Amino acid sequence: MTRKEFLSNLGSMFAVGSAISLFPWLTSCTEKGQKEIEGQAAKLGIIGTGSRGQFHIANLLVDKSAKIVALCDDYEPHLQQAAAMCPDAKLYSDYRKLLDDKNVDGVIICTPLNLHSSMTIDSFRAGKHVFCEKSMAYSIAECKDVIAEWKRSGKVFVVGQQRLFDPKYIKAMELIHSGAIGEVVGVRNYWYRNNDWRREVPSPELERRINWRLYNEYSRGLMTELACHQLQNGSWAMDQYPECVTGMGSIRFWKDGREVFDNVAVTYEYPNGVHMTFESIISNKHFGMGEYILGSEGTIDLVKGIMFSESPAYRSGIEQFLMQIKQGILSNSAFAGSSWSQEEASTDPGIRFADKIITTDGSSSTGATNDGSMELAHAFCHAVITGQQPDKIVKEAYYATALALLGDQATHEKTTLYLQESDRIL
Amino acid sequence: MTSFKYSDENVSAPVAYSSLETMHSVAEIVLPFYSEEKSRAIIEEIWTRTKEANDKFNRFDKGSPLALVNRTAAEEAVAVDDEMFMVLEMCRVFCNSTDGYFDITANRISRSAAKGVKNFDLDPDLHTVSFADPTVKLDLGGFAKGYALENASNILKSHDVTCALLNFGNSSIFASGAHPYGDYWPISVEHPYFRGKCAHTFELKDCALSISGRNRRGAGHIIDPATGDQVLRDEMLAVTGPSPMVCEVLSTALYVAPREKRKDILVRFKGYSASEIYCLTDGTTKVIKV
Repeated sequence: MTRKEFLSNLGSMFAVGSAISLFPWLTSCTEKGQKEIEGQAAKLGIIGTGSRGQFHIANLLVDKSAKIVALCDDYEPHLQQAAAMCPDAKLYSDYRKLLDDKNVDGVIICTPLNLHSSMTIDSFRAGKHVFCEKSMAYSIAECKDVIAEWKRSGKVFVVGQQRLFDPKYIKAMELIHSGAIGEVVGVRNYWYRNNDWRREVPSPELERRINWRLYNEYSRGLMTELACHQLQNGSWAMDQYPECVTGMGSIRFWKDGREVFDNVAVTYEYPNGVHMTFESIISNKHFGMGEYILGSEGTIDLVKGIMFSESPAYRSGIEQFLMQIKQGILSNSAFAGSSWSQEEASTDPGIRFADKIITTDGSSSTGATNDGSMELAHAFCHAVITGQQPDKIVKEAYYATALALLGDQATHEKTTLYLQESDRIL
Repeated sequence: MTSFKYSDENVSAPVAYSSLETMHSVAEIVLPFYSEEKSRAIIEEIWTRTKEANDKFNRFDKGSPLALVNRTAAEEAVAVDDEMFMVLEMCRVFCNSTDGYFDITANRISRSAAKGVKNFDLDPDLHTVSFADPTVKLDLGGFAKGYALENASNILKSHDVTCALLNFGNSSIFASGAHPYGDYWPISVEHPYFRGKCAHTFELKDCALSISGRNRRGAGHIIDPATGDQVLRDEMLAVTGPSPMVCEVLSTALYVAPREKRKDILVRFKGYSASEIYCLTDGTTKVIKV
């Protein structure tokens, strides 16, 4: 989907202006937002040009509001791959040197999780706007440091929670907030894959640098790499944040020297009694990726953009004959069978609630097209040019990260942990 | 909730369509060739009669006469009206004539208790019903739709209607006459594994069709009176014949009965045909005449 199609899609979903009142971070996607930056481009530096960094570069290269002027990576092959995509960009192997580059307005940080906080803070101190990939930081304490520095800097801050820009999620949340599925009674998330989550390593000494996701020193595993996206769903749907989390995790299948769990199951409890689950196993992909908001009157499948009713409409068997007789023809369609009853909710095929829905199966470790990433990057460009901080993005990102980190801690301690009052900073 | 649509776009065949939510399902009618006013009058009469049957025979409605019988007939004989008495008498007859495979007491609480007609007693002089013990409960779920459809078909006949189609929950259908543009009403059974795919087509003319099987989720909902368990057969059982009520009873009884006994039961009912419909996961269908 092009951004034009995205805007058109948004426009067809909502009454004029309602989307922006409900989802104020989408300002960059409005016609007014487009005009504000017409003919201008944000001068960007990419810190970390591995797979995710190159994914963003590919998106930004087709965005007229972006100009990639600098690239940085301390792993030369990745830097050269990115350089081939952006031949005019200056190359750096030390991000601090890139931060000294006065030609850079904003940076996009796509490095291992353990580097996020220091790089983000240094970038703010260097006067740069920052788009940091999720999760926000390696610990809640580091997240707080990042937030504090962001507030001090007065710069723009965006974190890679791209679902905030995915049309089907936006429409789904609008439906949920309008009461379309009744009261929210549960949130179910899962993300299953069947691969070892490894990247090819050209030389053994590079193992930990290339496969940083597998080691505790750099990463918090499935919780910060996958759950962080999905844990946003419950909070977004209910406008509140969980009080506590309990969970379990283990290395069940991929016993290859990795340190992070290859399967986890966590449950969060909200103040209203709703429970949100997240499960992930990376040695079985049968269920793929799923995200559901369960309501007293219906269920929304966020990934597929389908709403199911608890009281599905009866599919008429013989109304077809009305049309046939009107047209003077005889035809036939299958409808007869064993009794249809109102209790058979699970056979409801559901209603696709937005046109041109594009779904992803969650199998890519880099990023999927049309998942909101392109719009998020564009929103960052808009914010860099205008200096206007997109509303709510930092808050959503902070809590998504905090919940992921707390969940990770719970799986290691096999206990129930509470989100402390002192951690509710936004 | 009731819906009504009428079209006279086709001047040679104006047509009415109406639906009614009832009996935990939906009843529908297509009625060609009448004015809107006449169509409305006929359909309203049918729906009024259908609602009466639903109100009387709904065991889940605490205020229904059947619920009253279920609550008190074990303690004392309960007086019932003519219609209820007639229905219970018919159910006893059907129970006997299907070797007990059609049994409105199959859903009784005690699985080990006796089954069939011995479970309840009807006094023709006093018009009362009494139960053998407190575990007996009457369930007309496998009968009421056929009975309501029978009533509806009689109302059509009383108005000299010779072309109409009635559908109760997609499992109980009555075709009056033929489709205005055909020699019959084509009624296709949907393949349970492939939504919208035709598994088998019945050509109905002045004929009823009833289909029994697992529900659309694959779960059982028909109880075997002999065991008290849900019947979980792979096939659907379809019965065609002149009476919607008999088709309803027979499709349930033959679905419950072992395959080798089905023909023996069916031949007792003249003018009725039965088919076993086997739908396979590869989308194919096998239809075997009983």
